[in-house]
Amino acid sequence: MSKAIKIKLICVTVFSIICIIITSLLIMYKNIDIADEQISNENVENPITTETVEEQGIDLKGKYNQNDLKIISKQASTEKIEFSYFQIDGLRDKTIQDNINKEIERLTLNSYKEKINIDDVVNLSVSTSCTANYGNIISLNLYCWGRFDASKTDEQTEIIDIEKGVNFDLNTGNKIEFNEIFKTNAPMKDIIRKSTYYSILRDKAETNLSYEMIVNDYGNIEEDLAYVMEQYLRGKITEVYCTTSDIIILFDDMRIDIPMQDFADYIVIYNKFIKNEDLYEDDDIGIDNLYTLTTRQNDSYYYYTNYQNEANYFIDIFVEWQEENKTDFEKKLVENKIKDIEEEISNLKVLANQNTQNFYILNYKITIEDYVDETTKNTFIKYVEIGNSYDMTAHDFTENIEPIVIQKNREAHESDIEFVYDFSSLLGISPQETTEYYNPITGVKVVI
Amino acid sequence: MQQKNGLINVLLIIIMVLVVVGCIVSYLYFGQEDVSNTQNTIFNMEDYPKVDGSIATLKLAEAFKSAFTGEDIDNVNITHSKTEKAYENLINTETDLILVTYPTEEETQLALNNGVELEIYPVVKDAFVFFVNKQNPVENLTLTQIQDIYSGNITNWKDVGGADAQITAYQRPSTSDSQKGMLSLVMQGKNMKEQDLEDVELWQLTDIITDYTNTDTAIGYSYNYYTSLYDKEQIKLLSVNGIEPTYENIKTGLYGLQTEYYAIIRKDEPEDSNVRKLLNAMISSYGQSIAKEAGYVESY
Repeated sequence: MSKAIKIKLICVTVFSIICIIITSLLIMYKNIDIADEQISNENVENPITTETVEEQGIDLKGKYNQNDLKIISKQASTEKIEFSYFQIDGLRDKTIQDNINKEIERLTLNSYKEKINIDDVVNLSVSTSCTANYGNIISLNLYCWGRFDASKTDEQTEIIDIEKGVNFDLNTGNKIEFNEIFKTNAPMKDIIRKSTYYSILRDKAETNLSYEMIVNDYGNIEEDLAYVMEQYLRGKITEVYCTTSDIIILFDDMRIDIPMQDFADYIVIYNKFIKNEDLYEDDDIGIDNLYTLTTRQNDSYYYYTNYQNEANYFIDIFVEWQEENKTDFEKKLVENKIKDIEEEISNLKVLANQNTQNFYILNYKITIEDYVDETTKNTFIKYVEIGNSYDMTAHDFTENIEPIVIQKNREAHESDIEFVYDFSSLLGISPQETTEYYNPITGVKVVI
Repeated sequence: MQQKNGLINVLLIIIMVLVVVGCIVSYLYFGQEDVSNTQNTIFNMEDYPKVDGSIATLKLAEAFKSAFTGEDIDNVNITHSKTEKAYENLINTETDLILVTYPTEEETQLALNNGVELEIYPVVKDAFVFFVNKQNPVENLTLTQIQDIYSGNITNWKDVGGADAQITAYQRPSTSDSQKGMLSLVMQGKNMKEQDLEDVELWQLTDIITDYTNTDTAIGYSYNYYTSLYDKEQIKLLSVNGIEPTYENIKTGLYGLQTEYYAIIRKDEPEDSNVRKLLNAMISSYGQSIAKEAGYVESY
């Protein structure tokens, strides 16, 4: 064999080997690509996450401030629809404020369009309310109710019942997604499973003869739970809003409540969006130092509230009167009572300032209303005052009294009960009740 | 000599061309992403039969539709209305094929009352599994030990090789698939102890069957699919009689506690209908390989 042929043979062999190596590498590279794609798909479903240092759960003994935002009620109507919603005011960044307001308005005015044809409806009411206003977020719940025109629709039920919810980050105006409400290492499957389990059972519960809520038929609850979990894993839980105590998921016809108290360690909504930057024009609109998972309103025309929770005093006063048909005497009575209360508050603050080791509580609920005497049929003004003032050591307050105050506030939020605290078992002093009757015209005190 | 050289040159060129062609063919064959998808497309999206079923078979139905139509799995748009409703839909002819558990007496009766005969074919297997907290040292229980735990004869983990701690044995509501499976597959006629009930003040609920909570002393059970409700990093599946509920052991039947999900159609479906074509595709070797790829254990 000649040298030239040998060289040619070697060249062809080397060429063949190079071709085979390149082909093998290309096949391997492509297969790695496919495998990577599969792994990255898996990661979408089960993201590998790490907890960041900033993430803080809810401190169940802690306090929070409401946002310094004005919530302004708005109304609108068409031939068949009544809308009531709100707008926010008080953000420094007017672009963000406008965007949020436009979105609230858009959501309200379009709320029913996905699910119903307005031609099939007799009437419809749409109400959008602010359910959370703290930690630089606001949440809203949107509820549509009304009646279908039975002659124009095949709907099984004539009643319209649509609910929606959304959360906004006031720093950016962006919507807050479901997963952003929780720590990145939160046991989401446990949170969703447990909350769904109890929510489903709450919907299935019936009252027994002892007026207890029991469940007789659980149905195939595992499949119901699996359905919700599947929706979560597919990222389809998008309709979510918060209150101060619950996170509410809405989808299909389900309403799943996640009680913040049960999963407080993993919920970051109270703190996550609080940055150093001051977002608000004013600093005295929202109530400060509310206990976590509790709330208060302070924007009504027919009652007076005074809630102040500071270093060594706690003031919780509520005065309620009837707005309509108020006589001059009644107006004067309310004015004087509020003046007295504010004077008492002022004195208490002086005392608290002088005795920093002590803790002071001022707690009253006052009701001023009409009272009709059944015998004489005469109408009187009935004045009821219940409450007391208390003093104790700061240590006693923190250790023994404050847990009662927190508990009472959380119960009040759930069942709307009155904020009258009873510390008699610890302090030996009960809330005192005073009832007085007045002639509504002359203002003379009468005995009934 | 020159003629010989020319012949050798031609041979070498042919060899080079063959190598290049071989490489291209190899690349196309071995490097192809999903040959099967296009090779086995047997339906258009439009003529694909209406499929319904349980939540447990949702991913299976999606995988089948994607494979048999060639459509991307994200676009197949399958919804399952859960077992009970799926049976109703099949019987009322609102759907063509359902992927569900074996019909209960009530579902069979509903079909009979509506003059519908059902044709039932197993499609995939599912194991009935027991799980504990990952920290629990117990790895295996015999069937007898499980029966004793759930009848109340064994109450402490130390009696089955674990720590000295009271066993918290969670059960399921009687209407759930898992409780039915527990009674038929595991207890086999033996009585179960009374269920633990709880009052949930926050929800104002009284005497509620306690949901599994993954404490160190807990033991729970379900069909394997439903373990997706739990964080699998935190629970541990137990062996039963020394056999782990692995894919292989379920496939071969070595792991004894198992059931199947079925493809069910109405018996009056014509022989040449798309519904039967789909059914046959599901139980074909290709259909079964699709089921396996989707994370299920194939029946055949």
